[in-house]
Amino acid sequence: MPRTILISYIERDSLIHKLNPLTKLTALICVIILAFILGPVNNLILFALILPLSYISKLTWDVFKPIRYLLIIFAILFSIQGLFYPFRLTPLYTIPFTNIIIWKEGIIYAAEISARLLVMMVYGFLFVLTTHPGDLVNALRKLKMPYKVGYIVLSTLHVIPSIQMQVETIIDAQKSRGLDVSGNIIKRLRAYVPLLGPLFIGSVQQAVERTMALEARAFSADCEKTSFRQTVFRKRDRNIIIATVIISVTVGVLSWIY
Amino acid sequence: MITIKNLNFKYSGTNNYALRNINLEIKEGELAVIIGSIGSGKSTLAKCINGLIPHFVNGIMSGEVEVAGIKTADIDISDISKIVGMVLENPLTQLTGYGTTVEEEIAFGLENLGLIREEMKNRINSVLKLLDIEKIRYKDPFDISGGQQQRVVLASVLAMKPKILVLDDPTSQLDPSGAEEVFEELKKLKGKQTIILITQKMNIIRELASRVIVMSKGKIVKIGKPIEVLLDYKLLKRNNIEVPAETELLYKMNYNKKIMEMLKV
Repeated sequence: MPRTILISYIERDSLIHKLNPLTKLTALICVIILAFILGPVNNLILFALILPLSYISKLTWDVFKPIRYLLIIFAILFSIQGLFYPFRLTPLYTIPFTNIIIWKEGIIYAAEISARLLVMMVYGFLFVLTTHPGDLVNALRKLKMPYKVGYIVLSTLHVIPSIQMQVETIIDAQKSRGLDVSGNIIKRLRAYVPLLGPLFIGSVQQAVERTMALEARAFSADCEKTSFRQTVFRKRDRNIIIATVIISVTVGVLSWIY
Repeated sequence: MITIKNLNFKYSGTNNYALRNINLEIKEGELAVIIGSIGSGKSTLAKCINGLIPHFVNGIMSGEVEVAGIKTADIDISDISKIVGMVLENPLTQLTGYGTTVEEEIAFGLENLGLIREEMKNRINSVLKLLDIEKIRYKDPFDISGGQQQRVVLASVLAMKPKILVLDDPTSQLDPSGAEEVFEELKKLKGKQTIILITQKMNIIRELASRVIVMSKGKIVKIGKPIEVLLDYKLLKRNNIEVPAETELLYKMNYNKKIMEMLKV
């Protein structure tokens, strides 16, 4: 059974894992806001700070794995902004024997966006990899998030691999009946169209069955729900939240001024 | 434990009744097996017992269904789920995906009942022990075999301590060894729990069932002891139910009547 490629919690015994999900969520929001305020160089410093954090969380390189998915986005960003940035002024480089000019402003702009993406991506992943999804939903439920919304968020993570598996089965079934999925990209995309019908119908059927299974387990019971996993909000959680907010505000204001 | 009187049901958007004039009484501790061809109404009957009909499925229903002395039409479906536990065909759609371990998956229903943590732990320990799946307690429920998944589903339903257990073809999506695992569990539960099992697997009926209910075209055509039904070649053939090889052999050799008579003596 293929698990979700991107999103999955990794169990480790570390300080960061033990923090309350809300503490981590607050820190993540601070980092994302900072990423938008800071320039590319400062963002790279922020990015470098992930190193000690990932060491503390005992995850080491797992946090960086998703970066490979960003590389293609970076390539597109740099080439499009470098060539067509609307406020272009200074040519940086002219490709020999052609009239194609790469613009300095465009490259700087692309670098800004890339640095932001990079920061958000790694910190986002640090959060996801160190936070048990059940704990996150429990914590959010304490903040009065409706139970059903919590369930939707959580179960989606599990439904993705099951849909992946279904897609594979349908592709195999159709290939065995002569579906040709080779050729150029348009040909291949077109070949995947007949897949949508069975996939959609199958998903709806599964959704109906899942709802029945949920109802059979008292999903819509009116009583006060309890939770098996326990999340505690310790003193250190409070201290870390206060510290993160103060540091973020200071850094944000300082970089705004200078 | 279960009383069904003059039950009729028609799905909305269809012309034919899926269930016609069903009358059935099931006693506490019984393991009743329902057999029938596709479209005979056996799954619909199961849905009537666990309250999905009329609370969840659209259609026209008449007649009465009573579980543990309570009419299903009168109470909420979440209250029925405390009385009737349900296991469906596909284990993958029944795993809620709420937890990342088997233990948490089982806890899902208990959380909904609002139990305290200690009680949850006790119940989880006892069902894991009962079904002998303590080994996979901390495994990801999506990472184990189909047979194990279906046992986890069974465990999570049993943990809610329902008075009645309804299993709607729980082994049809499993390989033979997975099906065997599930039936082994049912053997353990036999006598301790009122169970209604819908199945296509004829070979386990004799061992498992205390009574067999044969359905065809929305009606109950026979209720009898397993041996009576299994040896009735014509009944099975007429209702498009798979005839076990032994039954066919005995019928061809004209032995089945003799055996029936012998058994009656």
